[in-house]
Parts: sequence; C-alpha cells; structure tokens
Amino acid sequence: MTLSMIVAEVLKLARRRGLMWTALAFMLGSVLLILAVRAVKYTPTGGEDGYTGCMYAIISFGGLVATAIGATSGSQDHSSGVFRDLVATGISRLKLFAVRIPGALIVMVGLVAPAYLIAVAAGLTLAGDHTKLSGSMIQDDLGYLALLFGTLTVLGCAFSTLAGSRGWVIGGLIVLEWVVQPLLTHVDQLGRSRDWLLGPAVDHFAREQIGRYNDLELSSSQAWITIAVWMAAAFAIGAWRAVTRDA
Amino acid sequence: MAAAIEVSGLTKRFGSRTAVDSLELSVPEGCAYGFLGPNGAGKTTLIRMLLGLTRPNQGQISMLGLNLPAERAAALARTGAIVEEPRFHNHLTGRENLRIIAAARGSEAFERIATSLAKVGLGDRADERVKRYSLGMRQRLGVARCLLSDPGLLILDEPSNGLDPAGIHEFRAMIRGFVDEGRTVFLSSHLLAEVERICDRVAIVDHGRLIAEGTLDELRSGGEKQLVVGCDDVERALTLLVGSPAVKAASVRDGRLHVALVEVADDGGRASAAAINRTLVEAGLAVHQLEPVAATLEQRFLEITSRLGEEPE
Repeated sequence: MTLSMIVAEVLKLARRRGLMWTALAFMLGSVLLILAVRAVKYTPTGGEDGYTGCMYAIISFGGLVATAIGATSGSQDHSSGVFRDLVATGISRLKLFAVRIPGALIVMVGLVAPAYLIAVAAGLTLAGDHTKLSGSMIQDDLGYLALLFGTLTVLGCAFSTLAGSRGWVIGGLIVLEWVVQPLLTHVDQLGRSRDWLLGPAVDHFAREQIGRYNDLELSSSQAWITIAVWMAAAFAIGAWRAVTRDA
Repeated sequence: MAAAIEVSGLTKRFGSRTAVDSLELSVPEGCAYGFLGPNGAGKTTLIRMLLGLTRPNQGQISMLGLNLPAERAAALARTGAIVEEPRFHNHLTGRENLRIIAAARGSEAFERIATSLAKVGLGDRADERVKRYSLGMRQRLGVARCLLSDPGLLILDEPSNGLDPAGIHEFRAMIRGFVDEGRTVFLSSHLLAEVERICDRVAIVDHGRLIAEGTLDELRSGGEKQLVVGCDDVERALTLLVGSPAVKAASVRDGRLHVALVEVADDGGRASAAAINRTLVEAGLAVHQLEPVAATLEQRFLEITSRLGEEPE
C-alpha cells in the first residue's frame, strides 16, 4: 500500500502541467542558455568549466524548483480538500504525511536529471583541448545535488503541511535560503552557533567552485549532525501537524 | 437488529459552544437512516467525529460493531463517506482521483474503480479532468469514491445539495439501490422531502441534542392532529369553533377551515372531530367535508425544532 501511495503522490504532482512545464523550463532553459552563451563567448563550450557553469544554474534554479515541489506536495491534499477523504479511509495520518516526501523526491529527480545529463554531456563531449569532466567530479556533484535538493524538498513539504498552503512557504524558504542564511554566515558575533545553519552544512559537501558558503569552516561530522537535526525537526513538525489538525 | 452506528454520551465543544451535546444514537443495519436538523444543529460535527476528522471531547462511538478510536482503521475500511460537498484534485481526471483514494485503501479498491464509475454513470467521462465536471457529476464521483471500499456503511452529508430535479431523482434511486444491496445509508440532510422519500428511519437533532427518533410513520403520527372542515359558511363555522373545548386552534386558509384538535386519551382526535361535526350541524351548517390532514415530516420537523426554542435553557 505504501508503494502505491507514493505512486499516487507522484501522480498528483506530475499532473500539474503548469508547475511541471515551468520547472522543466527553468532547469533545461538555464542550462541551455549557459551553454549557448559559452558557445558564443568562450572556448570551449563544455569541459570542466562549461559543466561548472551549468552546475551554477542547476543549483540556483533547482533550489527554487525543489522548494516549490516540496511545498506543493505538502499542501495539495489540504488546499484541495481531499485530505479529509484520505483520513476517512482509515489510513494513518502519519503515513499520509510521510509518503509525500519520497513522492516529491521522485518528481525532483525527474526534473533535475535531464538538465544534469545535458550538463554532463557538454562537459564530456565539448571539452576541446581543455580538461574533461572527471568521473569523481560527477559523483561528488551528484551527491551534493541530492543533499541540497533533498533537504529543500523536505523543508518545503514539512512547512507547507504545517501551513496548509504553499505560497508563504515557498517565499519564506527562498528568503531563508538566499537572503537570511548568507547574511547570518557573515555575522562573526554569532560564532560557532552558525554551525547550526542548514545552508553551510549542506554546502560543506560541495566542491569549492560551486559552494556558496566557502568562508565558513565546518567539520563533516558537525555538518551531518546539523543536516540530521534540521531534517528530523522538519519531519516532526510536518508529522505533528498532519496528525493533529482537523481534517 | 445490530447497530451500524452506536453513539453514547457523545459531546463536542468548540470553545464555549457545544456543537454536539451528550448525543445518544443507534442506527440499525441495512436501512436508510435520515439525520435531520437545522443548519448548525451538529449534523456535520457528528459525521466528522464518526470519520475521525475531529476528536470528541467525551463519549463512545462504535461503527459496524467496532469501537472507535481503537478500531477506527478497521471500521473506516468498510465505510464510505461524503462530507459536505465532495472535494477532488481538480487537475486530475475522475479516474485518477479514484486511484488516489484506492492507493490508501489497498489493492482491492483498485479493482473496483471501473465498476464504481460505471455504477454512478461516469464510465464515459472518467478520463476528463474533474475541473470540467458539473456539480452533479462531482456528487456522483463522490459516491463512486465511497464504493471503492465496498462499504457496509455509507455516510452521506447533504448529498443532494446543488443537484437538479433529475439528478435528485437519480440519486434517490441510487441510495435505495444501496439499501437493497444490504448496505446501511446514514444520510444527513435538511431537505426534508428528500429524506421522507428515501429513508426508513429518521433522527432529528437541534442544538447538538437528539430531539426525536423513529420510523417516518412514528414521527409523523406524533404530531398535532388536524382537520380540514368544508361547509357552506366557513366564517360562521370559525366563530362557532373558536373557544370550543374540542379545538386547540382554528383558522381559515384558502377558503377552508383548518382545525387543530384536542386529543382525549390518545384517541387520535376522534372525539374532538365528532364534537366539531355535532356543533356545526346543530348550528344548521351544511358540512360536506371533514378530512384529517396527514402531517408531513416537514411539519413535524418545524413543530419540533420551533418548540425547542420555547423551552427554558
């Protein structure tokens, strides 16, 4: 039953044509634009540099898309009014919340994969006489993207379950990710308490060329603990709201 | 007869307002049971508690012989429900919406999607997006969603809302069909004529309390006995009858005299009707009609619910 519920979550998201086309346009469009500009202004178009340029676009737009997909996943049963019909089937509310996360993650993979594959293809085939993209870089970047988009998707899902709608959650998470956290990392008076910011913790696993918080030094164990605390807290908040709210 | 729904001492408060107040209710299996009440009487709140959508402050509930909340999952697995207007993911088709619910109900529910859609007459339109559906089609899709669980109990909250006369007629036949299949239908409504045509038993609630319960005949016969009197001088007859010990109230409407009878020892108003006839004939009036008025459920409902307002709190 759990698998079919995850498939149902994927169906609910994937059938949102406006959201899907917009997300694909952001992801593919930004990567193709980077490659087009490089083809005109730089040599080579691809290679390690071209691939890294595409990664900037994927990270920036993918973050927005992950937030939107997560937030839609967490709120769509509530905003449509179907949550009460799902509760009335007798299924556990915790399960109803929990299946949203893998459903949203699967959709995210489907949206990011084409753009990333294009970036990798360009990195491998359009390198000219420059450094070609290495397998270890692909592996490291894939891990980082999974971590970055995974955490944003979970946050979007959990907070929109809490709020029951997605608009404010998407706006709030964008401000948190792209305004509040970058500012806080530069406030030296906060000292080690900055170790508990999610953005720097996730970026600890990014290579230097694509990391956004290179000024802040963290140990890997601290980074994992910070990520785990944020994810556990987000899951707990979303689950609590799903279990306790009047349907 | 076993009870499909058994409720005892059930109370739900929202702040200082008591929506359901120590409610006692027993719905027999295999019947269409009407749950009537004015707006705000507590009908939907009771249904929401039955379905686990909101928690009662106190009281016991059992559904299909299973105690809630301990055995809620098992009880709801055999229950189908429409709460208020049926809601769907509008960007999905009718069939996809059923797949969403079937995923939560299990593999057998998937197998019932096609038959449920066919049963409510949506087989041909099942692959259209729900946002293109009319209200009547949504109501039918809501019923199809209920049928995915092959329910022993159907809980329907105002299911005829927004339906046109043909839709209501169709819906009525559908519900009677469910009862004929041995299912129990618990139907909350304020459309009294509809309940009168569909249901075998009725409960009336107001201010969260049960006021009356029984078969339709029991409820209708419990009201005031009335008589329509036809004679050659209605105005004079009215003058003669006002103040008579056999008459509770009298008035002229549409050229006919309507008389509410005083009942003596549960005789159904027979002695009073005879006394009225005698009074008019002895006064020289030509009486050509003495016709008992069969009370409708609506009249009883209005009598009961308006009488409540006169009671001291």
